[in-house]
Amino acid sequence: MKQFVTLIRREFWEHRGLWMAPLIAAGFLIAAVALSGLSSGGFRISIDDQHFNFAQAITQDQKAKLFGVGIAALGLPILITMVVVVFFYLADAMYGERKDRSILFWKSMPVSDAATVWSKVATALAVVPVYAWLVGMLTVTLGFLIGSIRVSGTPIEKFVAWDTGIWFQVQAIALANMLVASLWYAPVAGYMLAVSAWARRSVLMWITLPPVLLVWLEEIIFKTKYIAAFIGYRLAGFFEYLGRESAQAPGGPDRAHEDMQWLSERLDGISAIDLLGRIELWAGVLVAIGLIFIAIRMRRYRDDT
Amino acid sequence: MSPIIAARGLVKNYGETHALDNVSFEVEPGRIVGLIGPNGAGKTTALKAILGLTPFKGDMQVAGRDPRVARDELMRDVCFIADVAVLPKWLRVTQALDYVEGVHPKFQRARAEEFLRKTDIKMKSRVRELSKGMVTQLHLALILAIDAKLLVLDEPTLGLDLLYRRAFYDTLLNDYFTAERTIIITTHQVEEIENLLTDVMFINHGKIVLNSAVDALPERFHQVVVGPDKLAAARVLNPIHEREVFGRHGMTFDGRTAAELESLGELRTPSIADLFVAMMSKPAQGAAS
Repeated sequence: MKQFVTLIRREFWEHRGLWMAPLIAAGFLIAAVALSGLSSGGFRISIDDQHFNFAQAITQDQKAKLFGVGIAALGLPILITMVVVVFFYLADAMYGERKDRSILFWKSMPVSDAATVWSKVATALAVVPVYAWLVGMLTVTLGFLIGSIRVSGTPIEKFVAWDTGIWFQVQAIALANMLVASLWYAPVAGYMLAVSAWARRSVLMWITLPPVLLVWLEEIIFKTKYIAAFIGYRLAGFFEYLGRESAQAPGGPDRAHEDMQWLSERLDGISAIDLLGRIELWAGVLVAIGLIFIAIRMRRYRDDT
Repeated sequence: MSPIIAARGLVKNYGETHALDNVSFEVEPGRIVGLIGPNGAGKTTALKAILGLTPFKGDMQVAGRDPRVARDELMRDVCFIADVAVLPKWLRVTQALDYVEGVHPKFQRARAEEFLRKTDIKMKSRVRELSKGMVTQLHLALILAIDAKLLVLDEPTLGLDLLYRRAFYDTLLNDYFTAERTIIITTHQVEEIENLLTDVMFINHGKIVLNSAVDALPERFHQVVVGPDKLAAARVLNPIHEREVFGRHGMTFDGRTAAELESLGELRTPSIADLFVAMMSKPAQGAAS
């Protein structure tokens, strides 16, 4: 256990972006809330005269749900930042140590290839997501406090109210979603690690080339798009699932009241926890384990030569 | 005592090249072995096989384990410096200590810190800020603090200046080496290590051409400087190497007694560097004589 913790610390020393990038994103968000104009700043959901009639009454329940959607949306840029950082991390995770030849140092230590690779998997799919979730939690809370101070005395004030119950609910959903997403994207991570362990150069090219080539060949030879659909479902399926009800979003200046209604219903639709019941999620996890074993085998005798 | 390394019939080919061609040897504990050979002779392959870094055919036991089975367990008893400057550039000195402390059950941090205090290395520095010599010192500090049975050094001082090279080997002898520990060193700078070796192993074209205790060398090998008048008589005795300098011939003999050679000229024991040159150029000389 002590060893595994050390291995994960090593990943954060080597890839400082893993912990710095979410903090930088959080800094930008706080700055945006604190400094931007009121109509566009604060909460990212636009609540201005065009979209909403401030004279309109708002119920307590709507207010609470607006709060929930607001803090969820405010945390989103941090998660997007994390996804980008983890993507580049996975591409470099197995390749970087061979490129700088430090693999010979790491291999002189009593650490198995399996422990090393699993520490990278855990970093990408568990430690960094939970860390980003914590940063997001602090950011939205601080952002809300700053935002509510700024809107006090303005017409927006009455739409803004702290709600501890909703706050917990949003954080719980965010954490659960994050972990479901980790399982959903595990085969992508496993594939990237395997390629990173195998490639002698141009890892990003080797990651993208095979799927693109397969899609292209299939289209040329069979005139079908099954592979593209398959890959597309794996990459976008999680978010399609999250947004499964958003297609009915009304929108438009004259339908502000319906917008409000729609917004307040969103909160019930943003949990991906049900994905755990899907067979394709667990099939993906199995594929991921296979790819991780390939990465472990690959590291065994790969070095700079 | 059972050998720390026992290798039998090691074979490793890279395409047509025999990196290891049916190699067998044993290394006893408490020895300092120089593994010496020209470039591409199979030195690095032999070391990689010992360390479990490359697959091979044959039997090998290192510290009682097959290196192909569990490298991680083997590395509790075996340390190596594979090359200068393989410590990652981004690593801080404190992180290096934290890391080894976190993963190595036989690492004594205080020892490494004590050694580092005697150097100019700052604890907050990153490896990329250190000179090549300091990186080697840092690596050495980590290894001195590990209670291992076998230390493998592959060109540990390549590219370092003389002061660092001297200090490196002095530290190794004074602070590390004990009767229970074994060190295997490969280097091109044979002259520099020949005084500290207890054993030499010459490897060429994937074969071991000499495997001997240094103590046994004077009895087996002799060097004689032969004048022109005694050249024919000397050549009859089959020198393994002949080198002409200023009209006189330096000849190296293998397996001749001092009594046989005394009449030819003054006898000397060849240095390991001389022997290396003699044995590595042996096939050409053999064809000539």
